Amino acid sequence: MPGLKVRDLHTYYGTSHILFDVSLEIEDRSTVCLLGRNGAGKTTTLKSIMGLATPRSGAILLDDLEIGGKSPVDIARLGVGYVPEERIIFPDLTVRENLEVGEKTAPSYVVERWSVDAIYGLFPMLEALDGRVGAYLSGGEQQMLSIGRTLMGNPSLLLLDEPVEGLAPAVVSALSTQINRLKKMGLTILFSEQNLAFSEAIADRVFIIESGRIKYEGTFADLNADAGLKHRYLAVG
Amino acid sequence: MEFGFDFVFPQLMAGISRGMLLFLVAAGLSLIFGVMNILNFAHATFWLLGGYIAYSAFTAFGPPSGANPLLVIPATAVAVAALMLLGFGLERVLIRRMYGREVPEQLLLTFALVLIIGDLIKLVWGVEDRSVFLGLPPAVIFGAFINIYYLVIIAVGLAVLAGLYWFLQRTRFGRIVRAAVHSREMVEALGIRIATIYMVVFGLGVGLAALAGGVVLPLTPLALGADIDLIVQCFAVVVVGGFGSVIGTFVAAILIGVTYSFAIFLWPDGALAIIFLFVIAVLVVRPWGLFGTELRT
Ligand SMILES: Nc1ncnc2c1ncn2[C@@H]1O[C@H](COP(=O)(O)OP(=O)(O)O)[C@@H](O)[C@H]1O
Ligand SMILES: [Mg+2]
Repeated sequence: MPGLKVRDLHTYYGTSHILFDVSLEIEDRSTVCLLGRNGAGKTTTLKSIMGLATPRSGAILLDDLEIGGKSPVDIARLGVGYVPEERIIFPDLTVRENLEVGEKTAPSYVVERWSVDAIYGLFPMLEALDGRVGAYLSGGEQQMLSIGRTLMGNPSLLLLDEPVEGLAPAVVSALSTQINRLKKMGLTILFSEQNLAFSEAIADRVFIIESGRIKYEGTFADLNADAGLKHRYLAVG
Repeated sequence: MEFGFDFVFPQLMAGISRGMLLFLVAAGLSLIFGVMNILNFAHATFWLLGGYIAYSAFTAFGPPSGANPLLVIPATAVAVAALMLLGFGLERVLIRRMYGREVPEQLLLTFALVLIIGDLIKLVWGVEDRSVFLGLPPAVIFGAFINIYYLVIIAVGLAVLAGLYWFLQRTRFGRIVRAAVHSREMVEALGIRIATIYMVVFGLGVGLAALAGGVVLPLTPLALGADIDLIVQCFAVVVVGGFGSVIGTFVAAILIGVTYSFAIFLWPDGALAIIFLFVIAVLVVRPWGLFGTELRT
């Protein structure tokens, strides 16, 4: 079955054990949210999938191909796109140049390949900033550029680490519309989030992580019906 | 001594051409540090080795004195090709092991290269100074006598500046290099193989040093130990210009070259001291260098 499967992941930073038995299953072309408080292990989970953190045990299967243990470069070239929490825009490069760096000479995993113009179509705000250098972008602009840059590599699976963290409400709603468009285009998306409202607006299913362990897996309907669960693991009860 | 135009103008030209030499060597040093975070203490030693190889190539084509001046071109090409290959090879087997290591360890390893290459030069070319003499007539510009070869060096320096600028700003490879200055991890996460980029940048930097070695051959005799003098001044250039900035390296190289050229006349023993006073003054005002950015980590 295509999609992403993560099985019994244990990840360490040095000697500190961060992820315990993390398992996730994301169906092809679905959008899934990894919810959890600060320090719960969301970033570590996404970095483990991307090969930026090395799990000590467990398996990561992308369309039934084992990608655990591969380098980030190889994982990216197999069609995984990663948008880091810090966005990491190249400050000396213009908006267009940042996007162009995202192109890669690897097979495309989407039917229609992305171009700078197509990215500007998705994020019209960026088009007006075409020649501006990355150092002078607002948080929302950086986030759109970071997503656009990753899309330029034509990934089939998109990993977004807290895409709306610290952004103004208007930008958050714009991003939620835009991510929904990506979803409709057939991308498989796994994103992390602390806020229930935003994730509900785009995700089909939700996993809750707490202290490096998966505590819940299911639909938002079931989660909303369980006030105790929400209170225990999420910022707002 | 008369400090009129007849003194100042030739001295200025000498200083600018010395600045071009500093630029050619420091540009690679700065690029390698900016992109790969490697402080290459052996960079000027590659310049010296390039000079000796160019010397051998030149004398293989003609006598060291009075030969066709155009022989400098193939001689320099041989040196650049040889040193670029050496650069690619060294990056593969040696430098690659230094990524992410502490600066003292890098200095130790690259200083070992200084000693090894120095001994190699002694073995192959001996301890005597080596030079070629072109016997070009001086040019008369604004009534002052100028070594015409200064103009060649200045032209080469400007061409390299333009070429590097074009490469970094206008090519895909250059964009990736500038991106890698900021974040190697992000570049890799975008599916770009950074190992290739690093190898090319290192080889290119070493090749530029060899270019300088070949081009200044008719102007300065090759001498053992000249690399140590030069590397110290190149560090000064890179610090003043701001690490990773090509334009900054260029401006700083010219400033320091000209300062040196006048200082050596006015106070021969204190010329280096004057350069370092200048470096300190710049660092007090702009700790990140003239063209470096505060943003860079
Ligand atoms: N580089 C690191 N070294 C050691 N511990 C880390 C490192 N990065 C994160 N941690 C720890 O791992 C845990 C999970 O962090 P993280 O995955 O960043 O959580 P989240 O993204 O959910 O906020 C936290 O307790 C954090 O302190
Ligand atoms: Mg995080």
